[in-house]
Amino acid sequence: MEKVFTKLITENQGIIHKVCNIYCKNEGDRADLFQEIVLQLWKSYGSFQGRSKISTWMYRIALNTAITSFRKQKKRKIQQQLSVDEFQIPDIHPDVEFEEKLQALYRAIRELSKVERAVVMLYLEDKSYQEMAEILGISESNVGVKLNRVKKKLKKIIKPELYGVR
Amino acid sequence: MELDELKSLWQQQQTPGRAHSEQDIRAILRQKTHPIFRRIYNKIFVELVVSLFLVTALIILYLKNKEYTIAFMTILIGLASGYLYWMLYKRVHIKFGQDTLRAALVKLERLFKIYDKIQMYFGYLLGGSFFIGYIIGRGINKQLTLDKSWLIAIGAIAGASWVISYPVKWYVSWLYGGHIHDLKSVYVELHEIEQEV
Repeated sequence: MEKVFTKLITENQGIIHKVCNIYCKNEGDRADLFQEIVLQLWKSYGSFQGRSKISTWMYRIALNTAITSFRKQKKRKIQQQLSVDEFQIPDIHPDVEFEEKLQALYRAIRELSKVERAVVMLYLEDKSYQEMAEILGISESNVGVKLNRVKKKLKKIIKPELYGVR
Repeated sequence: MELDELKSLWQQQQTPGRAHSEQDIRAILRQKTHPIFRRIYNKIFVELVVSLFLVTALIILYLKNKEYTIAFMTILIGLASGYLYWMLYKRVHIKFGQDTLRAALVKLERLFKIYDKIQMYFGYLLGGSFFIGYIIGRGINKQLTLDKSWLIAIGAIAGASWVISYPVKWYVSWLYGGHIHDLKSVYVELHEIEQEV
């Protein structure tokens, strides 16, 4: 079972990394959260019965863990002044403009509330309303309302992030 | 930039973090984690075990000396703590694999409510149990006399019960205050949507 699980996580680790990036600013916090999510996934892997998609299950646990886990806030408050390191996304993509835009997007997402971050991430991942509702535990109509608000908010934030105008 | 463009930007990104090998994942599985509710359970459980030891020791000590006041007091506090732990464990057991975010937050909200009650009533529990223990204990020993000093004692106990609730409140707030506040706002935000639609 452990072998299958490690393979599953290795293949789908992008989901966990994305969640870590939208909820944590610095590398240390991201690494801690990554571990915590993997452990929670492992603990509940035995009870996963395949009723939902594997990605839905992973998103649910990753977001639950990220939102409810206990991490010290003080250190991060000191680093609230924007620094290059704080928003560093691993520089894999060769296109500099692409990287800049992506980092601006992450910055904008981090300005949203915890729930809004979850909603916007699922939207960007192209999840259906049904899946989003299943992951968050709210009705599809609620997802719609929330998503409309978040889209507007994100648009407002992303413009100055990309073009430097407030 | 339109939202569709953001979507495509998001989806084009490669693994946004250090890629972990299967070996790395296996190493993580050997580690321990401490989510907030588990920490609270553990802490309360340790407090419960310690208080049970104290209760036992005090009961033995005071029964030997035929002084029942503290024995009754500790029994009452022991029962209250046991009930509290049982209630927490039964009602606030989060299953990450099965619970949705909302369900997990509902359970956490219950936990906060219980914590609020502990903060509010802890001092009164101490004072009340001492009072009941004193009456029963003295009654058994046929030493119960009600006079002026009783009024002063009752006043002092009530005052102390009120005063002691402040350090308890501070202690809980010091332990988890900021985080509890954060989670409460997440819960309110998620709940707010339900009420609006």
